[in-house]
Amino acid sequence: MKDKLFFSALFAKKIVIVCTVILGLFVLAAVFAPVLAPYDPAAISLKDKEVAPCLAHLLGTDSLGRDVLSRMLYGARISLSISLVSVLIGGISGMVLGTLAGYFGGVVDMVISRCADALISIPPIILTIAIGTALGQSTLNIMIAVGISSIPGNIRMMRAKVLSVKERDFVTAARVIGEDNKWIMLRHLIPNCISPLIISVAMSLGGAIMAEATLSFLGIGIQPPNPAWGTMVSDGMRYLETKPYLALIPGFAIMIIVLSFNIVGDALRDALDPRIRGNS
Amino acid sequence: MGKYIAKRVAQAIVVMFLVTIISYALIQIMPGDAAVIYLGSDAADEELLARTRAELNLDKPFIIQWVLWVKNFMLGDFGKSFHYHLPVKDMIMERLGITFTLGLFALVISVTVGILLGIAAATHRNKFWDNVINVLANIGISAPSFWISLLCIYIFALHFKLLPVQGYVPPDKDFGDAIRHMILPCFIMALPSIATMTRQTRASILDVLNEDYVRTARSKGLKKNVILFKHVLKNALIPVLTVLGMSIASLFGGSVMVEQIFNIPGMGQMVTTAVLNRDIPIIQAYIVIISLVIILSALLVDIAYGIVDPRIRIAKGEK
Amino acid sequence: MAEKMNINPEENTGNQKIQAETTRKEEKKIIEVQNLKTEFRMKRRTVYAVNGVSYYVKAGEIVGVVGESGCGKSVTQMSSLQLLLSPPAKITEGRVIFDGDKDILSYDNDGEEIRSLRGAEIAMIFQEPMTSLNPVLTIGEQIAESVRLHMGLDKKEARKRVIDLLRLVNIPDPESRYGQYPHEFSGGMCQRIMIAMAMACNPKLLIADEATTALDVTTQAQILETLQDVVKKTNTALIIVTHNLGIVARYADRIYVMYAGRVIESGRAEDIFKNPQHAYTIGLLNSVPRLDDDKTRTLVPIEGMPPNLQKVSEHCPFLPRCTQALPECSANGVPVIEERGCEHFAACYNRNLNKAVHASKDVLETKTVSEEHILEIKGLHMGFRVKGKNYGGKTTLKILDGVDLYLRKGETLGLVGESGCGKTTVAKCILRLYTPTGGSILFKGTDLTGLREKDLRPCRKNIQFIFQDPFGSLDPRQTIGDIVGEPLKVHKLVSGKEAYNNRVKELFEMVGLDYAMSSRAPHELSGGQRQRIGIARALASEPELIICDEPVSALDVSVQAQILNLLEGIQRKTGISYLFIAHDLSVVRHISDRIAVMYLGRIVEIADCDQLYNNPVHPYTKALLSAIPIPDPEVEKARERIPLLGEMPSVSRRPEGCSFHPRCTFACDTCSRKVPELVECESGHLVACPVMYK
Repeated sequence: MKDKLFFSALFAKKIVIVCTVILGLFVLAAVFAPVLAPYDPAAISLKDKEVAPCLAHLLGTDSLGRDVLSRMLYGARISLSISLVSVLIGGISGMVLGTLAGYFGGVVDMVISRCADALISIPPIILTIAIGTALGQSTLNIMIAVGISSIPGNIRMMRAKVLSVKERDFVTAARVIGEDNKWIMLRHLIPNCISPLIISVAMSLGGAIMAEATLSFLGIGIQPPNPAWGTMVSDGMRYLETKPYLALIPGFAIMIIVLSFNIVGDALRDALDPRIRGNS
Repeated sequence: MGKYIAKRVAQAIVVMFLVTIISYALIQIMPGDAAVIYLGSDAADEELLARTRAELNLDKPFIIQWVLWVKNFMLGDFGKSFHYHLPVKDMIMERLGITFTLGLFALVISVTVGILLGIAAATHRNKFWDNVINVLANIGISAPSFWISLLCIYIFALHFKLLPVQGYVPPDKDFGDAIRHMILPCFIMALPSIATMTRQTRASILDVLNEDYVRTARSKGLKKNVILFKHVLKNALIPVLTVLGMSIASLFGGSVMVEQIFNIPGMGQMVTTAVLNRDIPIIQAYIVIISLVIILSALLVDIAYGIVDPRIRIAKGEK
Repeated sequence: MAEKMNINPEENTGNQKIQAETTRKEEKKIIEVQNLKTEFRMKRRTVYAVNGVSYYVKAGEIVGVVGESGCGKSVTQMSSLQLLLSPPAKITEGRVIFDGDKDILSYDNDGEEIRSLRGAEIAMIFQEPMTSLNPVLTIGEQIAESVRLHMGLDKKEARKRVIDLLRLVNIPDPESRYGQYPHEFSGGMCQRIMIAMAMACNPKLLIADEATTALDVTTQAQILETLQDVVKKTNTALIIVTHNLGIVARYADRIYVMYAGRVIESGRAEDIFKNPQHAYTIGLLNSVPRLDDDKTRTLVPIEGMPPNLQKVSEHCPFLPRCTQALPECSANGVPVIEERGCEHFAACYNRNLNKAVHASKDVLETKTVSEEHILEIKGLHMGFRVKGKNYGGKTTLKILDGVDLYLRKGETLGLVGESGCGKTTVAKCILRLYTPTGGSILFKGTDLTGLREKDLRPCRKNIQFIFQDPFGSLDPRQTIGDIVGEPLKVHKLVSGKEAYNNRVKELFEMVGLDYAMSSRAPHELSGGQRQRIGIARALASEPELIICDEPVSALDVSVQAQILNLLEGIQRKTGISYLFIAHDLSVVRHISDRIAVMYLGRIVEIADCDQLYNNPVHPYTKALLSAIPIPDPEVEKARERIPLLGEMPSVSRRPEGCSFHPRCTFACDTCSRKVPELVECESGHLVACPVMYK
């Protein structure tokens, strides 16, 4: 009954269904890229270079003759894996640090909060670039860099939620019963505070994809010949006047995926928020 | 009020110091020897390498290195570029004005357009214009700025030839041309901020409309517009201030990309080049300066909060 | 000639002529609402909040509208002024005639015509005074706005009028407070400002929608007295919407009783209370504790819950809970409201209702109180370090300033006082949620104040707590079975899954819940059921003392009685002791053996229950008792009202000497110098007032 209500609230708008389907296709494309891709994404074939979209190459080929469709499919893989891992890094660290800061307060809170403030006062993209540069360019380092830049926001959100939940009577009740701090945090605080974090993490998947694409576009993300969408846009930029689709197609794909994540995330938040659910 | 400001200033100073630690730590986590990167091919010379290490204070413990670096920084010595071997300060000073001009224009655009669109959406809640604005705001948040840039260049510059493709013209040289060169970059930089500003304004107006005191205002027989502009907006714009503070950060973030694409010789372009050259001193100085601006604007926002909201002004101030 | 009320829509048209004639003869009707229907249309459901309500108010009359939460009493009032936000609200039927010729519902929502009525002719006061004022505008500006709009005064004249209004509602020093913001005022003061705002343009009708519910009893009495004064002086009609039967008994001339979005009974106040004609009204009167009750009276709760308004009931909406239903009740449709006497109408098929439903429970079963002191509190001090005015300087806010109490095994001690007096702080000190700054708390001889958290944990199972808010005190992520069983796990009180399940089942049965519900989440339960879960959890570790912090004040009156009876029953069975904290003295009277009255962190009077109510000594106790209205207009008329001066100060500005002396009419010189000690004036009756007891 409850789940039914939740899903009907979630999918009340058609656009949310459309976006969910898009995300589903995106995940399928990423998972089954090796099966679906008609060509090897890295195979250079200069005789086939810059072929316009046709039956053999549905999305054409790039300046080195690589099949754009195959590169897009493999690119989805990279986008998805990087965003998933980085978002998990950011989400888990944010959850732990935010819970500690909110529950214990005092010095613990001060140290954690000021560090979060410091991280937040560096624009996320610049922080990612800086960490990426310092760590050196590898897929794992990009994941870490993108993840770290989402930690402060998660800390703040978790801390604020814990601060409000900690004042609620059922936490007092747990203390009256005789539970210790660990038990209270694990059994009562985290389960009651986690849903906004999960939503924000789901929504930041879009942001992480964008961050990775931006890094790759600037040439400091995924290194060639790996087919990242951001790299494909920057490669295609040189041919903007003659072959605009080379840059515009991967960019459009990024936008659609990020947009879908945002819209589904918004809908998820509204569906989980009983206040909004009751009113609309 | 004075006490409240003093507390916030103290916090800001602490945060600023933490930022310097973070940015200085970049050298530490960087694989390889900073001195080797500095010298490039000359690194084979052992003696020169040792001298450079001493010059860059790399032979001292981390804390000392950091203290010396902060001290130099405050004295105006930002170090030397690893790549160009020029003082970082001079490089930054040349480019600071350009980025700030762009940022300022973008900020003005995003505040005015964002708030106006937010009001329009909230007053037409769930009607046609609200939906249109909502879709646009969603796209504004989701579209990668590099892609929007390319799309705009393709449409406005290459296809219709209305605006220049890229480049920068100083306003004192040819004002009209300067403006024409700035339209696209400023608009693209402002886009994400416009979108968040619109959404926040709309959401907080709708929140405030549910407040009891709006019901009181209605029960007094006030006109709709009086309620909106006198009772609702003043309250609703308080959370928008917070978003304004965050917008400044995202504007600077956006400038990196926009300057790169539009080939504007600002700090953003400088830092992109520095990243490709692994020119850490430039990145460090850039982070510190940008963070300083962001922390200062967050401070101003908080003080503005105190002015707008009498609850903070009186509760946290001296009576 | 008595007038006919037209509740039934079919009768409307036919009787309009007669009605018009009678109106001329009678006093003028200020507002007349006919067959009003309002529903809330949401995406997946529609709530029929108001189902054909009719009422009228005559000039200068005070009318009370009573009913439990969700009965549609506020929605009715909001609908009549078209103040509800639409969507989701939708007024589907009805007419609202104001001042003889203005058909309010025919006006455009938020249009010119209705705006010229709102604030000018009809004014409203709402429940939450603090949130009903705009936080970023000065209070003067907010009142002046109305005056300038409707009376066309200029800025200077408006300011003068506002200051006069503030004086009218007894706000001290109105000139300087004109420019202050709402958060600089207490809740009571904010409500006075709301009254000033409402009276600003001399309205013909004032609607007070639960205007005093959020306030303390003494403030409530002050505000209502002010309100009564003001409307009588200006001959304004007043509608008091409330759930409190005592308030309508004390202030209203006529009363409408609402249930499930309908008026089920209406009439003059004396008739409603003396000769109720609807089973619900009778049930309500039987379930409400009264200040003048006999100690042996047993409350008779109305079992069950108010109906879900998502569908319109086919029969009398009270039928499922009614103990006096006749066969025709379930055979026929919704009863029509009919005349039962002079201005007295009711919608009930049963014409021979039994008015005094007698105690169904075994009253005679007495409880045993031993002389052993299970809890002994001596000189308890509690202070919070807060930031002072100087940089880094800290001052201590003394919440408790020397509290002495003891509790015998098996008895119930009532602890009463207004919000901010420190009664909850006492509870939290006993539970060691706060660490007291001084004094001792002996529980069965062990001093709890010095124990470390680790040593304290095993003791915790002996002292349990029942919370005020049945919504916030249960973890929304756990099932109710887990919640009740949690203490068993924490203290490892049972071994094995089976023993655990049996114990949880036993606890469910003890509080009158079906164990089959144990896998439900708290939000699926009603307020009363949640409070039962809270009680079951407290009982799980077999404590010897339970501290009940306002356990019924968040519940509807008909449910309150259920919970009070349950607590009493448990005590008889298990011999447990209660420390019962409440602000409602009539509830406390019912359950307590002894009562302690607190004021600003000190006990001012302790006595046996009857001694305290029959012979209160401390002036504060007297004022507190007098502030509580009794749901009986005849008793109310005869009562002496002891007004209280001013408001309770904050603990940071505790007056020197007796902290009550600035508000006391009997205060003398010594009161402002010396803190009075508790002195025994008769056996077991202690008072901290040397003036009243020498």
